[in-house]
Amino acid sequence: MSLIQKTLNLFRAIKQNGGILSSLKTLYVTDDLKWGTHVGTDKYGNKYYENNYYFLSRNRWVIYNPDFHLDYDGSQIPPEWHMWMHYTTDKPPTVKPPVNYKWMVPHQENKSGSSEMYYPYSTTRTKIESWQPAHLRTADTEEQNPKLFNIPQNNRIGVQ
Amino acid sequence: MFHPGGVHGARHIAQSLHHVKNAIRGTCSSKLLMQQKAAAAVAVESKKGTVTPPPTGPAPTAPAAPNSVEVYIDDKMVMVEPGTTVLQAAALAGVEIPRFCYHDRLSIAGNCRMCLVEVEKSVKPVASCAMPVMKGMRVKTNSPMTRKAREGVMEFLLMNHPLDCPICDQGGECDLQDQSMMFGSDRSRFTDIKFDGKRAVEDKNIGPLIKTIMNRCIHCTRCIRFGSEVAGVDDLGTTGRGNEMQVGTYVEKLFASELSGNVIDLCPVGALTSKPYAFTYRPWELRKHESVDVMDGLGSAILVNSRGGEIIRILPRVHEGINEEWISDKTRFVYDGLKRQRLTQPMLKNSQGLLEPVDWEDALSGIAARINRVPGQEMAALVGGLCDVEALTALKDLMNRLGCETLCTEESFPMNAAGTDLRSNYLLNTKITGVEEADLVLLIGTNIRFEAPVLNARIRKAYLHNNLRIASIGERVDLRYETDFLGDSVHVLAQLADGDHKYSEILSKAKKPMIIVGSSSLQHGDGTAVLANAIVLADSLRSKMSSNGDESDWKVLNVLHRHANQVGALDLGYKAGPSAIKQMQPKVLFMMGADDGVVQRRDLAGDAFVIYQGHHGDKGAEMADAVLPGAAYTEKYATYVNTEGRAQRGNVAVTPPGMAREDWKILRALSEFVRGSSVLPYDSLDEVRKRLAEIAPHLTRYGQVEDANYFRQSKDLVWNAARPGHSGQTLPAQQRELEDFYMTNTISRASRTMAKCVTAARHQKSTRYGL
Amino acid sequence: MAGIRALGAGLKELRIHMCQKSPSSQGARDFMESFYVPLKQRNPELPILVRECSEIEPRLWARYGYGAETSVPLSNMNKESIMQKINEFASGPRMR
Repeated sequence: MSLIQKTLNLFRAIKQNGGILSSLKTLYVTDDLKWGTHVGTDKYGNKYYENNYYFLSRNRWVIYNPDFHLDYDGSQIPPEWHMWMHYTTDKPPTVKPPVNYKWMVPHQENKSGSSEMYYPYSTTRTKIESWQPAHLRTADTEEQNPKLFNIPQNNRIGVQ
Repeated sequence: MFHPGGVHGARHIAQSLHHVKNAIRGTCSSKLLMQQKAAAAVAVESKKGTVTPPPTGPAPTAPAAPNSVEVYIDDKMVMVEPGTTVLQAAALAGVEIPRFCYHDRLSIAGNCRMCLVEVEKSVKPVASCAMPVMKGMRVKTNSPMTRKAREGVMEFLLMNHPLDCPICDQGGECDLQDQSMMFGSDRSRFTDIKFDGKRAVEDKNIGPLIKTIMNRCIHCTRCIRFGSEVAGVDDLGTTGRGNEMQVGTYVEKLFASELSGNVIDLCPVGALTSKPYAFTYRPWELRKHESVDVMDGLGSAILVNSRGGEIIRILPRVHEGINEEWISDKTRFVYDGLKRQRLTQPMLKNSQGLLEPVDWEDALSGIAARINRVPGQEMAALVGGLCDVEALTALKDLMNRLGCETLCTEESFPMNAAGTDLRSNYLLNTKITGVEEADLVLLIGTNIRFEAPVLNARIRKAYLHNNLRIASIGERVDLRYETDFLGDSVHVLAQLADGDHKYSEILSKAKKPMIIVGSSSLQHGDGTAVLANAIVLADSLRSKMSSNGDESDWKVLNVLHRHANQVGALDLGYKAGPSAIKQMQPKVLFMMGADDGVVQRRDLAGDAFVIYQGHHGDKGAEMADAVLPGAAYTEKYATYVNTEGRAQRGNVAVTPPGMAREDWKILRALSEFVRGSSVLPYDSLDEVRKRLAEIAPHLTRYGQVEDANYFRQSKDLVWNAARPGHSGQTLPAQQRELEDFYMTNTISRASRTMAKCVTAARHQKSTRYGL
Repeated sequence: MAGIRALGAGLKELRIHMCQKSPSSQGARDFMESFYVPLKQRNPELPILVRECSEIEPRLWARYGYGAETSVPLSNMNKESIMQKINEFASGPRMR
């Protein structure tokens, strides 16, 4: 590629990223300055871009919501965009919307290291089933009785 | 693996040393040793069929009867009574002969052939369990012929026995394993496995308690003999002969006996095992705790096995005075009710009127605040049937110090006349072993089969062997032996007391009559009349006995209680029956283990504060404003007094769950919070027991029955008052059928195994063969 | 009989401990044979607990309201003096 082409690319990238100062900020946050078509935005505000001019594995990228700043994380990408980002599928969710099943839970980023992280808890049956006063009894059958398994309700079993 | 024997500690140690010595010689197994001890202590079953009553003291070393016969066992001489079998004589000599089908409490079958020994001058080896001794008999229990016979028998038994040891529940405590190691040959000659192989037999379904794997059955017929002799339920039998013989019920039928679990102990192999705890344990990893049963009023001696802080199984202990070697199904299988519906946290009603968990200090101070507002005369206490004597004492002391005199038991007892002053009024005075000396038993208003199954088995034993005559008054129930049914209301009893009935002549001719009044008949309106008439009748029979020249101290009147600690409460001075509470309408009610629902909210004052202390959440906790979690009978050092008046100690097997504590300690802590000088003066179990001795000294005489006297005084008081009238209604039996037996107290109501038993009994009743 | 009267409401409970066989409890046993029935008839609401146990020293315990208790040994006393002791106890815990 000639020098003129490269300079034009640079100017396009600066223009897409909103000027020199914003480009410098983008460069600081993402270590990368690229231009491409804006494929879509997800519900969190992350923007997804594609440019097949770059080689495979650099041609699809995400600019995270500026609110995240330096705390961006790959797990913040929702599943439908995750498929597209990791080249599982060709069509982004804007073209082929994802199927909504009844059992899907809302997407959550990885909480490791934060205060909401997962603490492992015992899943064995308690040896003694306690009596519950009438207003605390949830269901008649013991299979649905949470007290049988002593599952901590707020997942903070380590801190009691 | 060594199951500790019964009551006598020194003998126990001597036995264990004997066991060690014999183990080195390689002749004994632990279960056989237990049987030997029982054989040495128990009566002889001869062909004549008389059973002398077993001595309750230590076993005699050599009976000094004048017509003793001398027998030589391995050149050691023993003098035995004529009629003993060679096996029993060898046991007296200290030699343990292996056997499978012989059991000292069942009739002799002689079909396993393992007890073959060589007798001089006999060509064939002799089945020692069936051969009565003869004068000068010389028996060799270790000769080559004996050993060859044993190896041969063992080989035959093992030929058709499946290789199930790794998956068999009986592994580790299996007679077949032990005896094949000690007496069997060291190698197998079984090659038929490549051809026809071993016999296979279908498993039988005989109920939710007993798991049958009939491949393992060696046809010793112990279960069949137990069913027909001890339990009186002829459900098990054999079908076919030879190799095709099968033990079972032939048609798929429940083994409908309240003592059915005992066949699990009897079966020498793993053919009959326990269904609730199948595949859960191995016997060597269990810890043993001796304790006392509270499911009925007898206080059977039990052994609680635990592992890892939970109870795995309950086994009987040998106690000649109470339960011999049997326990009822409820006693055996109720332990899973101890793991459900437990109270594990103190609870207090919050401002919305809902029970919420709190910690101990808040609970006790909240309760004390309510108690301090109310004068002593407006408080009351109600206790159930499973509380231990220490807790009852602490409660009585605390309530008395607060000025409250109304402490009642849920179970009623007539309080007129002598009431509970004289112990002879409410105890089983002849003791349980008296059944074997009696010649006539009159049962009044009690379905003894379900209220005290082990006592019923003893009555049946006396009925079979001693020609005991049994008469019954009350609802017609099936006791598994024949009774003379006299009538079903108090009218009949009044006639007998006056001497006006047809049966009075038979009664007066009896040399040792026993009258057993069931406590279920004392609950309702006619209860006073029942007891009064029984006292009068008993007194007239006693005076006839003494006028006939009978100098013995035979007491006629007995009361059979259904609850484990009713006698303990009455000994301490509790009032029997909730009528006093219903009359005074208290503002504070302290319920301890009171789960029969005899007192409801409507019997109390409108804004009454109800405190419940117990171990299960049942009717009492539903009604309560404050809940204090206590310990169940396997979780505390407790004293229970059985219906004979014998004080017994229970031991800790597991710790109380969650935040539960021992009951007397809770009351001691509460006493610190309430007003005045109510702090209880004891801080340790020994001090509580000293206090028990101050109230009633027999409460610390563990294992002994103290005689109670003054029957005539009791009769005078009843006689001088007007004899109470009666309504003539039927004396109802509280437990009529097998399905009523299983869920009678709060622990058994929480048990899933008991629920399965009730379902099975109901189902069996609806089938073609019935119960 | 002399000395048997209604004992009053201050006394809440009487307990008599005695042995069934030993000679020191003979007085207590005689008391039971002769005086128990009329005493109970005069005081039907009073619990008079008779607790026998082998080889103990016979004792009389009286319990008053609010947990106060007194006791006195009855060894080798005759039945009249036992009756007298009961009457003394009836007046209250101060009298001892």
